[in-house]
Amino acid sequence: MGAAGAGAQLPQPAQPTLPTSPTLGTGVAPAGAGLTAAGNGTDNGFAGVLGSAIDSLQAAQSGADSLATQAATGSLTNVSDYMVAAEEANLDTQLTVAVRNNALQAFQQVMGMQL
Amino acid sequence: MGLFDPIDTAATGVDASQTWLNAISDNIANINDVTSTSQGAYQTRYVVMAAVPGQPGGTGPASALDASIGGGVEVAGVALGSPAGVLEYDPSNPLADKQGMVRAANVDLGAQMTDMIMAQDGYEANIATISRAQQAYQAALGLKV
Repeated sequence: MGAAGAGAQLPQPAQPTLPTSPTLGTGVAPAGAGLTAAGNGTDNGFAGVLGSAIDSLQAAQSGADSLATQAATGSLTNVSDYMVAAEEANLDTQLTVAVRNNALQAFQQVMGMQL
Repeated sequence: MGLFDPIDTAATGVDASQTWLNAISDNIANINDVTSTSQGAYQTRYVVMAAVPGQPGGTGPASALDASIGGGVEVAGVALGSPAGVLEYDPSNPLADKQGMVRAANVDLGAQMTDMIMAQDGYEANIATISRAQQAYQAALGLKV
């Protein structure tokens, strides 16, 4: 909300953002709907969500790996390319592990429930 | 858009700054170039930067916001300076014509040095953006639920 307000005060380039501002108020509900739609698209279960997350993590890591190979063979043209790819793979790994840990924690809480 | 937009956007700035540094080092390396008067002198390389328009990403209202925020910077091209150079009198030079004139490169070293400071600062500023974005992500990942 604050970002949209600041954008509206900008001169010329911010003009196209003005029509989007009214839709910002309804942002929460459609975003939730989009989440469930994405879940339906792949798999309803947690396994599907985690599986697609691991797939994207794999893609990020293999991208970083190929740049690391370029760095080793001397064909890397841009140092920052590799560092950014490695950093994104690192953050992606941390995110996936955090999601897995939290889900496992929730599962164990359910399993430990007294009936 | 993607998960790491701030990092990707700042990376375009790093790439553009590096291209600018490449052009500046080319200009400084060729500052003493001399050609015969029948040929053009070394043309100073000027990097032309342009903003990358934003792309609508996923679904919902956030998509329109993604489109209104740009995707960083790109090198639109390299403009070349005048090939006229500077005519210098140097009769001992084997390239000199009958009047003893040669055509030297007209690279302004002072302008190149100040450009180099700006390119280096731009590179480091974009790296700082990447670093801060990384810290922000890690703060979110450290959240205890």
